[in-house]
Amino acid sequence: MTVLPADVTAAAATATQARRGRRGDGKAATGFMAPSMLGLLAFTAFPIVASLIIGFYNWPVIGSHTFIGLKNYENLLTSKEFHTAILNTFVFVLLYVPLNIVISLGLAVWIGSKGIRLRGLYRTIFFIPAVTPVVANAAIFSLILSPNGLIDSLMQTWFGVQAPNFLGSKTWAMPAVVMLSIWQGFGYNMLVFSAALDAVPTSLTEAAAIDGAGTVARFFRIVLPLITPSIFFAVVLTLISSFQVFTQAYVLTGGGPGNATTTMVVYLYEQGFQFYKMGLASAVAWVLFIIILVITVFQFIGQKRWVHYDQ
Amino acid sequence: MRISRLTKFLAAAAAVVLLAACSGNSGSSSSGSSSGGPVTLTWFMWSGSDVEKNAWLHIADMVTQKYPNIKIQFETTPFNDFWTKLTTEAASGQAPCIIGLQGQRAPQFGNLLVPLGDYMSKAGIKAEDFVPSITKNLQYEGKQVALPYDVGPFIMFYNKDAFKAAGLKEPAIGWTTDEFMNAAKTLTKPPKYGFWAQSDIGQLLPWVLSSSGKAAVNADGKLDVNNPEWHAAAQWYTDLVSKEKVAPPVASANSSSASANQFLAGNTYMSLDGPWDLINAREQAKFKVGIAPMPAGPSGSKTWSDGSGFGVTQNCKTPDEAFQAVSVMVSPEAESYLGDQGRAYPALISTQNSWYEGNHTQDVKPVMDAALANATPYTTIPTWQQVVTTFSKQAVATYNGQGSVDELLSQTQEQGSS
Repeated sequence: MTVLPADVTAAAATATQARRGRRGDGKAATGFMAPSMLGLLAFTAFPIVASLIIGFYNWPVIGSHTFIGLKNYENLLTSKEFHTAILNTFVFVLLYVPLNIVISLGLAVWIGSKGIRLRGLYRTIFFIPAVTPVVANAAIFSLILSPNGLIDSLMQTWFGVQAPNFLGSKTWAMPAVVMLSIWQGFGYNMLVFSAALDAVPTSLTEAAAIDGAGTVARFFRIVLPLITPSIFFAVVLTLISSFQVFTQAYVLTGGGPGNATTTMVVYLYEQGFQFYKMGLASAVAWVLFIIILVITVFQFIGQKRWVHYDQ
Repeated sequence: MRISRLTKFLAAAAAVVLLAACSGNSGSSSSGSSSGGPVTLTWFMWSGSDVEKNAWLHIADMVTQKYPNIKIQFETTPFNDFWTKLTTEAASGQAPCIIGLQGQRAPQFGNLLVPLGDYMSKAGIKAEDFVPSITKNLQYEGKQVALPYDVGPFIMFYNKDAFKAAGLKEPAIGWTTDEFMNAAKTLTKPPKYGFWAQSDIGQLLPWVLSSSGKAAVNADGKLDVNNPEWHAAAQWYTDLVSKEKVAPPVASANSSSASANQFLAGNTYMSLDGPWDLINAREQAKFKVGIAPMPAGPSGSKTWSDGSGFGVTQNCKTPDEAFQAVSVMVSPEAESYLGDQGRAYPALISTQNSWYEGNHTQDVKPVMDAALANATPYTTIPTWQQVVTTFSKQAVATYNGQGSVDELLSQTQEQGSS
């Protein structure tokens, strides 16, 4: 096929027009984008920059602000309470993330297995805790776990002994927070895994079955590798959100007893919104941001070893 | 090109409108002139229910009835959010004209308010007409910054039915700590307990006052809790839970589980509380609720009292009108109304009968009078919130036997001094 010069010119002309037209669209697009851009600037970009700056100040909410350089960060690094908060956060993450992934994956596999009827119903039921407000879930949990609560009453009637004071005990408070978080969080990951499992081609598993692979082998050798991208996605997001854990600990135990459940964000909230030390709170936010950033970067580097994107 | 210029213009115009809408009437919380012309005043007040909110709206109407040129714009949030919102509004220079202020928060927010001395003498309002402890509580650096509408001494609530069933003499004026301990031991049969211990510092304070006369804040206005008197009282209180076991283990430092009132639920038979909860308690409890003053310790039957009032912010452009409004809000008519409705035990002494008559609480008048007579103001420091938070978190651990009294008081002292 030969192209005539006239056609070329025409095509060029259309292209120019198109470019011009696109330029016109660009302006309209800017107009349409403006509201959300303004929102992003005002409610995301501005606070990020502001918190970085405030972090270098002694910044009470009412009263004068003074520049103190890195003093807030220095105070944090030497504060025993903040060390406890970091430690508590890591303990929470190490308990919560693996449990969440195992439970949600297990449930997704169970729902997806043959012979299960009413899959949609189960999916909906298991997803309900995820869309229930955390505060509501926490209120129910504290009714269950408190002295004279559900567990305590049942144990007294059945065994005649009192249950541990879950929320008032340094030993039990963190497990209680983890339990609530799992209840709150497994539904979302389950849905992600469920969709990923449905996308695994049956031809592959059937072929493996014909070749003599058992259920366990099929799952670990075929299905699991195929859904690693979804697992990676879930792990990254769950890790980020679990470093930011706040509501569960705040509502259930208020960060106590002692500082047993004071996580980094609970500490941040206390300093910023109860003690009104905005500078220190901003510094906490940046320390947390850097921790999350580093861990996420390592995850992305590490994924090459275990995530399989090719079909 | 013309079109794009138009879009640019429109976008800019929209942005201006948006920004203008966002900033609102920034900086001014009242509008109108201050010479008898029509004035709209914002009044920021907490309320926990529609009933409570309607009572405040009724008070706002009273203001407009007396001063037709004043209109009140009422804003409200629940009590706990109130202080956060007030702080942020004050920080952005948008504090409302009139605010509610709790006595123990006066050191924290007093600097936002206008001293009322001159206004009071001009209007002929006498501080002596109010209960002295709350009037003193609402002072900032020695100046009256708010006028009180309610007051209440912290007192002992007890389950009359349980005392009767156990054959115990009911707590009365003049009862002692020994009698309290005896009653608590007799009443305790797990899972039911004689006393409800709670992690709030205000729950411990009356016991410290009654045993040693020491408050939380010393004469210099500094926090002073890491001393032998506080140690002894805190140890005694801890023993109620972990040694004598006459009080159930403390649940958690936070409201959601602490709000399950173990006394009203009938799981504990004595509890310290304020008269502001009495009417509600009598309505809700499935047993008869009685009250008594603090059991007398070596230092007598001492307790703290707190209350709340209304003040005018420095930010207010029309302080004259704002004070006129406040003067109506704490007038005999308004306080009688609040007392009669059971919303407040009035701070204005002449109107206190309305609370007894309107709520059939005449039986507790002798106890209230005795408790008020022995009450000291709930004196605090500007960083009181840090003290409260630190104390209650550690108190859960200490009371339950997972920490020492020394840890509790030294940590609290450290927070209060930083």
